[in-house]
Amino acid sequence: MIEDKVTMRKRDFITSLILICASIGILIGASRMPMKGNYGGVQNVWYVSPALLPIIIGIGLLILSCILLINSIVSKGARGVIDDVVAFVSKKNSHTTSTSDSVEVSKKLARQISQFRVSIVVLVFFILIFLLIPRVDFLISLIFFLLSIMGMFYLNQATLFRKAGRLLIAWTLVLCSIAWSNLDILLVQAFEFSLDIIVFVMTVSIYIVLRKEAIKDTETKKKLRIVLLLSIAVPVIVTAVFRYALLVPLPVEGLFFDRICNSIYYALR
Amino acid sequence: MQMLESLLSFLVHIGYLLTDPIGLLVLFGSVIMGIIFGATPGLTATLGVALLTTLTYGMNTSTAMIALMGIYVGGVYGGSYTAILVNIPGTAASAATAMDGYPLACKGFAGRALGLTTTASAIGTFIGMFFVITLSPVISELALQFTSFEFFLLALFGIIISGSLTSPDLVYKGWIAGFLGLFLSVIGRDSLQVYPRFTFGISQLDSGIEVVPVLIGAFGIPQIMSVLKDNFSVTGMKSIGKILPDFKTIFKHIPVILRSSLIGVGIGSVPGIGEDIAGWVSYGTAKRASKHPEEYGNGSVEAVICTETANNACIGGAMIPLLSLGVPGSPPAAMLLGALMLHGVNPGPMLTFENPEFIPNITAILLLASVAMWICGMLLAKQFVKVLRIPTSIFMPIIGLLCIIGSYAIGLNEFNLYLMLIVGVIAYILTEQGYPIAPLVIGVILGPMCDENLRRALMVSQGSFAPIFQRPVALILFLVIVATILSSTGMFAKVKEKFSKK
Repeated sequence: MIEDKVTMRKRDFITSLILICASIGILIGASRMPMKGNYGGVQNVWYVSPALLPIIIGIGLLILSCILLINSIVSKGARGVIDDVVAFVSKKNSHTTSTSDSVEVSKKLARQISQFRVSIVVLVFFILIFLLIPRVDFLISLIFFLLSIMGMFYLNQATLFRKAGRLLIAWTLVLCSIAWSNLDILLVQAFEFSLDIIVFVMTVSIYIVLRKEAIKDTETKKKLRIVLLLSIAVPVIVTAVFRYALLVPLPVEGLFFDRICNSIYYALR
Repeated sequence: MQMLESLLSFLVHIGYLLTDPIGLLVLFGSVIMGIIFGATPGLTATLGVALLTTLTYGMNTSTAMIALMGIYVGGVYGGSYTAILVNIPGTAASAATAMDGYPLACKGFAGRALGLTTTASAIGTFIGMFFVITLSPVISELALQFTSFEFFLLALFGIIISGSLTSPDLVYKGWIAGFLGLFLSVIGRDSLQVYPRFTFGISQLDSGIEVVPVLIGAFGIPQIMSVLKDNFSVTGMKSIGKILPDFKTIFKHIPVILRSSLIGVGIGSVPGIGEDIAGWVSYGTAKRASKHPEEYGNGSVEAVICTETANNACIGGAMIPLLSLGVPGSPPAAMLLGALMLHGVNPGPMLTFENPEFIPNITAILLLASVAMWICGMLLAKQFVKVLRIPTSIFMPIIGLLCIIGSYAIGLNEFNLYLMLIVGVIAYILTEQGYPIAPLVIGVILGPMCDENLRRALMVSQGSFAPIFQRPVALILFLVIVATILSSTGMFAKVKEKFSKK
């Protein structure tokens, strides 16, 4: 418990510095807002100014962040951060690891594993929201999302996390370079569904990695079958409910939703 | 006279709801969904309300309210399942229930404990509903006398008190979260002069940030991340046996039920504080007042009854400030406020004039939701337990998918998704650093009220703050805010110590 408090105060030191910067940013932004003169037909005085609440927020946040900073210094959080930095640098220089603090090492390892798992979740969300949804067929995007997260976390194997994680990073780099070089526009001009096909390949590649790990035992194989079934069925049902029952147009309806689902739906109707 | 009119209108609404088969179907469906959300560790009533909000967008307001109130009531009650059967509260609201519910299950009384919590929850919701119908119109009437200063102070009070009481670490971390929420609310063109504030030239930010995607991000994304991080799954579940309402025990504990209900309603009506605090306060009070405090923690039936009554009575309590003042009483109520805004309903003192049928309608829904919850709890408990066996790594990604499509469906805007993810990641980081999320959300919701009323009040008083000290309600609110802040500092503790020594 005491150890947790110490860690929390260390984090407070860093957070308070970030918050102080943010509150100064808010105050600078507010100082640029009209405090006097005429804006939008309204004669400004300080108490009508749009800057009034941002200034109060900025000052309030600044005072509270300073209290947080002082508290972290008083309760040795700042000292802890400095010690950590010094220890990190000295370890890096000497290339030796102390064996006496094995408990600390195992705790650190557990923390790193947790951080890695969270990073994977954020990465898959990032791929879906920033890279896929604005450009690619919504249905295949959701299938990719579910297959990646569900597959990795439900099968829950360290080697799988490493392999699939590397693959996801590689695909992220490919997709980012396509998006930032505007290659996506050229690809769509050349062939309407080219991006949908790329994401389909990406989804299949994730499945292959999962499958390679799953064939090792029957229990994992069974789990993979469930993952595959749910990864396809859930997006199909959810998108169909939103599109046909709630009449919500999907962000992009491409090869999979427009050409397959829409065709089936309108043929049956 | 007004109360009689409300009562009559309430009875008419009950009759109308009972004869509406679609409404009943939606009610039972949403209550079942709520119980599943509440019972599943990692999912909360707030998240359930958030996700369902997006599905109710196309419904009429009345049906949408049936669905949202149903999931809210079911969600708060559902947490008791895992609290009793596995010693892991499904929601924070039933954390106190686990203290005695699990020992009861270990003794082989899981079915009895579930029967008691189901009945106690239904009674708690019912008593909360009684206070909504009687108090909301009175408070609305009083609030009509409020000027902009009172509304500004009320919004500020909501943020400060919520920050003080929900912070798991240092008190001022709650206030920081509140200020961050306020900051999010000022983004966009201001309502008075249409001046762009902190929009950074992004046109999508001109109209301000959409509340629902922000709330989904703040409540949903951190939950998904933390559950997947630990890859938690429900194991070692106790068998239920026969579930009986055990009315005899309930009748024996009527004083406990009444006291816990009053605690629940009282705590629920304080802005931003949720059902979890109601449960704990009720538990502590019941233990102090009990003739057998030694039984608490070892499977006391009284403890299980008091916590479940209080957390469900809190729903009614949370609805009172929401409907009469436009200030949400708990995190799920904050989400409900977002949903109401989506449907063009503006809760506050004017609600009784603009939409006189709304409060009786809500209370009628609350009553039927408590009955539906009791029926579902008694008949379907064993089926709910089966759902709990689904691993979190399976349903959490599906919840993520629903968060995404829900946030998008609100405004058919991809920008909402960016907002949801960014707010979600920030909320996760804040949670990990010991900052509460409720004040942040309350800040986002009450920010516009704070901004507009402060400037309007100062405009009327020509920049003078004197009216705060001249108007009794404003002065009381001001003093309460000052007292809340001072009581959280070390200085107050020293003064208290000095006085106690004397």
